[in-house]
Formats: sequence, structure tokens, C-alpha cells
Amino acid sequence: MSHSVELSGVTLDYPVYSVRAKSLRSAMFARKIGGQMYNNQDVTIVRALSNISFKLQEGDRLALVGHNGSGKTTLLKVLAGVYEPTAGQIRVDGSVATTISIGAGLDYDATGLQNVYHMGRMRMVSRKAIQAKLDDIVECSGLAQFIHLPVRTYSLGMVARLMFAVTTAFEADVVIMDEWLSAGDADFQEQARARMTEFIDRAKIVVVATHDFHMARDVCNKVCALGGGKVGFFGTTAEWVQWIADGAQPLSA
Amino acid sequence: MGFALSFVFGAMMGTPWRENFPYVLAGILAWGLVGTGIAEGANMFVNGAGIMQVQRLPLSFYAWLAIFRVLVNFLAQLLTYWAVLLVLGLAAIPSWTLILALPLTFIATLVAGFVVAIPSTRFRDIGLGIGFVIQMLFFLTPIFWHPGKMHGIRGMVVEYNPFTHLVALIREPLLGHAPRLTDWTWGVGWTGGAFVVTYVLIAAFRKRVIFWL
Repeated sequence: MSHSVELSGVTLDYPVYSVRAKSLRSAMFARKIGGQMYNNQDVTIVRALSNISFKLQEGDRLALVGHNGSGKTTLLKVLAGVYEPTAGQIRVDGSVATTISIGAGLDYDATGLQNVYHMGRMRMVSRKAIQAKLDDIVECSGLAQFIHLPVRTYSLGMVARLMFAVTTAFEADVVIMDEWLSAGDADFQEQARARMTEFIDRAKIVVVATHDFHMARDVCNKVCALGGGKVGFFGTTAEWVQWIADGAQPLSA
Repeated sequence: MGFALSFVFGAMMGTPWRENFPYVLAGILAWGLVGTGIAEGANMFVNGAGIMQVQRLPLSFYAWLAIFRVLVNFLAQLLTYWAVLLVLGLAAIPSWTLILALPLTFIATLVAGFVVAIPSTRFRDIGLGIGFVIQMLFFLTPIFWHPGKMHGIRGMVVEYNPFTHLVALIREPLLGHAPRLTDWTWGVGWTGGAFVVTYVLIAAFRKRVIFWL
């Protein structure tokens, strides 16, 4: 089975509601006096992505680059299926794993071990498959017996280690990442890098948003530079390096 | 709470305490599932915002999450209910119809929770309002009083209140008799109606819920 990701003309309008627009009372009150109070200042529509089209084949590693607020994370969320495009089509063949925000879906009162199960189940992994990976996860996280303590007792670094271990344990066809995963102390970083590379190698398609020029150049074979929600550049890494050399600003569109 | 209500209202209405107590207790238990459950469901998307923003899961996931919390609560209280009644020597053998009534009311709360959750996510003040509405319905539903005492227009309020029947579906089997046919009809009708509304809401707003968080 071949895996692919295809976007054609994807546009996303993102409505932002003010506090006032979130109240039914204000909304009704405003209608009565002619909609004067309840206007476009209360519901702001942001065009986060406009007319984005590209196709990724099996084996592609795409780096999304661009300034803060250029639409990288939004595009990742569209790929992950969190947002549905306002216009255009998106087609993803294969299972998707997302690491957009570390720490989401953690139950702080449950133990580390219980959380491993929860997170596995939320990634649609069967209980048996989680059990098979359990030793590997616990070992990688380096939490040892602390895995039996509630997550609220963990330090930030410990939480990051746990999340990293879980995220990289379950393979997926399409991996969507916001920034390169990194966690823990120097010791762990070394080990994590190897594990991360292995995880990425197993994935068929990887999309990563990054600000790291060297990473984009070394790891990825394709680059998409976003600016103001539009594709400024899309092509192979070599072309991208050339594009920058030709005078385009690095990491921007 | 069951003690207090059966003590006060039993005295006011002149019903014997030993008869009234299981009735009120079972009613409160049922209300926890069919009434309070809806109020808890109203916040299902707000509570799940963290997961919703990073991972694609069907909206029904959050509905099940909310409803299972309610169910676990209910089952824990059910054990207490039986324990208390056994100690007092008031326990009745539950009617087998409980096996059918429990899933029905469970599904009813699931879909009704969904129906209130969608508008409550868009307009946050609705969620607050739901709490008050549910509290009002608690007093309009025969839980600590008997429907037989209501006549005329008051009787109609009782008869056309779906919660009367939903509560009865749980309470009657717990007290050892089968619910009336009208209770079943109302229960199934209410659930079916809520299903249709849920379907329409999902079709219309599924894409937008995420932007309301």
C-alpha cells in the first residue's frame, strides 16, 4: 500500500471569538438594537491558510518553514485533521501520529503507567500492542519505579521524557511534528536523538515545522516555506538552499 | 439529602416514612443519571479542549468520556443505595426491567448531553444556564413527591415532562416493579428525538466546534 498526502487548494478561515461574542445574552441584545454592538470586531476571521496545494509521496520528509504566525502550526493541524479546511481538499492515506503539543491528554492524577495506556489507546493502539511496547517505553523514559507515581508529582523534564517515550514508541505512516522533539538532560538528549531518528525512519511520510535551518537541510528532502498563510516556496531541499542563496530571506517567504 | 427530603416532604404529605424513603432515594439516584448527567455533559467539549486541539478524535469520544463519568458515579451510588436499604430492612428485589431501562436512560443522557454541549460551547453562558434549568426541572419532576397528588394543569406538567418518565424508568425497577408502558414510550421517544437533533447538530457544526474552544 502506498501512502500519500495531498492538498489541493486548501484554504482555512479561522474565526476568533471575543469574550462578548461567546455570550448568548450579548448576541441577542445586539440583534435587538440593530447589530451595532455585535460586529466584525467581536468575531474576527483570520485567513490562516490560503490556497495551499502540494503532494507528498512515500519517503518524503517535508520541512515547513516560515516566520512565527505564518501558518505552520495551522497547516499541521489541518494535516492532522483537527481543523477541516474551509475550501479545498485534503487527502491523507495512512495512519497519522501527531506531536503538536506535548502534554496534551495527560491525566495528572493518574500514574505514569496509566497514562501510557491512555495515550496509546487515544492513538488507536490496542491494549496488547501497548503491553508489548511497555518495557521499551519505561526504559526509554528512564523513570524506573517513578512510573507508578501520579504524573502531577513529576518534574517538567520527567513529563517530557514520558511523552517523548510514548510518542516515539508507536509507529505511524504519517508523522506530523511541531518542532523537533527534544527533552531532558544531556544524557537523555543523546539517547533521544538516536530514538528520534529511528522513529522518523520507520515513518513513511514526515511533516515537521521547524525554525532550524540545518535540520531542515540535513533531514528533509522537501521544503515548504510559508508566509502569511501562502506557499512562498515549495520544492526539494537543494532547490530551497539555492532559492535562499539567490537572495530570498532564509526561513521566510 | 435523601434522608432530609424524605423526612421533610414525607411529613408534609402525610406518607409513612418507611414507604417514602426508598422512593425518594431511588429517585435521587435516577436523577443523578438522567438530570445531572445532562448538566455535566454540557461542558464535554470545553473539558476536552486540550486533546481536541492536537488530535483528531470523533466528537462522540468526548460525549462518551462525559457520560462514563456520570455512569461510574451512578453505579457507586447504587451500591450505597442497596447497602443503606439492606441495613434498614427496606430493600426490594429489583425488577428485571432494570437491565433494559439502564442502557436506555444511559443513551438518552448521552445524546441529550450532546445536544446541550454544542450550543454551550459556542455560547458559554448557556452552560451556566443549563445548570439552573436542570435544578428547576428537579423540582418539577416527581422525585420527592408523588405524581398522583397532582391534578389538572399540574398533572399535565408531570405527565408531559420527559424527566418524569426517565426517572421512573430507573426508579420503578429499583423499587421492585416494572415501569409503566408510557414511561417506556416517553423514554424511547425522547431518546429518538434527541438522536435526530444530535444528528442535525453534528452535520451542521462538526467542523466549527474546534474554533469555539
